[in-house]
Amino acid sequence: MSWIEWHGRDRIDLGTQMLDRQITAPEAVHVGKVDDLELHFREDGALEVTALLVGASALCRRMPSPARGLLRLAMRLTGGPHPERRIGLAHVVDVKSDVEVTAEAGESATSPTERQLRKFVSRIPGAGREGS
Amino acid sequence: MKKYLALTLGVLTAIGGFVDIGDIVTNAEAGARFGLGLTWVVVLGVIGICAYAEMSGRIVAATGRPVYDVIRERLGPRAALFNLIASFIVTLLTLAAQIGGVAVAIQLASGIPHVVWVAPVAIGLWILMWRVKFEKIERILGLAGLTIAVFAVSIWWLDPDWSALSGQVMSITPPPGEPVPTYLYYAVTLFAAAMTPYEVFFFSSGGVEERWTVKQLGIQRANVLIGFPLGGLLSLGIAAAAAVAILPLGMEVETLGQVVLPIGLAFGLAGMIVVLFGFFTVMVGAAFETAMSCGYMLAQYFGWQWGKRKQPKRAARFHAVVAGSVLLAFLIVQTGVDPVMITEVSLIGSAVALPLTYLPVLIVANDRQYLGDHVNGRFGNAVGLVTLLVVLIAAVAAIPLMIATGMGA
Repeated sequence: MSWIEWHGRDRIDLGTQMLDRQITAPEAVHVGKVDDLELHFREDGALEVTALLVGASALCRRMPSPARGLLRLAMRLTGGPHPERRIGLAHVVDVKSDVEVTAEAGESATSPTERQLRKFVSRIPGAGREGS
Repeated sequence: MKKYLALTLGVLTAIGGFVDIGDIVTNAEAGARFGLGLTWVVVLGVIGICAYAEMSGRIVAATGRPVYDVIRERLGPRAALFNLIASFIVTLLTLAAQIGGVAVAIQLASGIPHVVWVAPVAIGLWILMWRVKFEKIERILGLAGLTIAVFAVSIWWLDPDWSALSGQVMSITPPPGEPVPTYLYYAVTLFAAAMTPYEVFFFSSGGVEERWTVKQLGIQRANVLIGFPLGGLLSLGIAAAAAVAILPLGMEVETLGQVVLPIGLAFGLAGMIVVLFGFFTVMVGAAFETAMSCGYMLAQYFGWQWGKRKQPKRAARFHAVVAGSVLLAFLIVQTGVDPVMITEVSLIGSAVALPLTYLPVLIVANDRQYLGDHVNGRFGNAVGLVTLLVVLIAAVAAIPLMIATGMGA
């Protein structure tokens, strides 16, 4: 299933075709998951997807209460909760088995927790070498 | 030529990936108690792990998606989170069991109690994961782990009653005088040891790291279908050695020190050096695989950067989870709990949690939207469904059997 294949179709099941997919930026950078979608009412009354929402805060909204509590606790323990990140639909390049976005969108959607941890991990000798 | 090399190395990796402390302990326990009477369970387990790994490998080759990506997409975030928590706890316990096992192997070699070795082992494991290349770890440990074939070799030296052994292999009922629940309890743990969830998390994530495509499907399938059965044979060698050397003594196997008894009898000190070296490498390898799996699972559920191929500082959360898991496992073992006990608990947990991750893989392996022409064929589905049935029975039976038999006592 690719972005192209979406054209001309009457219906797309966003639940199975979009939500919870992996979001990937160029060079196999993992950005996050499609944790939620931003929808807007158009003037003709139809709903339109305007952005992908990324981050545990967005995921929380879709969780039942015990799981939500657990996720909130995990976020607090790791220096959060941080607000969700938004990737406008214009930045989505293709939809395959993952959702591909532009490098710029990928960079701006990087998790604040990941950024903080990177500072710490970078200090460990060998953290900057090429992967193996 | 290069193709054959890839095959050989892949087979080695699969053999190493199969055998761990769970297989060592359960095969020795079962061998000492039932002889080779539970061979059919190991055969079922090997068929099961082959089916599971082959399907998840095919999913990786066709879509580039590892197991936990697929689980969240298919089950949705709620069921997948429950699944993640269960699998994470089980894998963490399995990691603790391996670390404990390595410490006990060093104790057997040095005479100094294992609790002293837990911290050095955990630190060494982390340094190994941080510094050494993925393929190097897998290949060196896979190759070195073959030394546990010394169990199979020892059988000839111990001069067994071959007809009695082969009679046991054919039986599928408990020996006279043994209660059925105990027999079944050992059957479940033996099955869980052969078909452990982490093996597949690791295998499929490794496939993504090595960028498998459908072109390599043939080699990758051969790795699984040759490597895992050979791993099963090595495990059965442990059971056979226990059947020959320990069963006649009427002794039960409760520690790793007792597991190596047949080797001591057959080959003396030289044998002990070989077998302890084998245990050490096999369990370090399994500790590496389980620790990485802890990171893989979480990172794949939440969509983080993961993997050893990425610059470590670019996959900071992944590396933090891997290091944190080693730390937690270290704390569990450092309490002084018997590693064999941790192993048994982790195996019961594995049996219970296995359907949670097996079923989504079986479903996706039949989904044309994901796999196109690479979906399961009829034979694949027949094996897959029979395995599902066995996995479900083991999962339902595991805890009642554990309680009813007092952990196989």
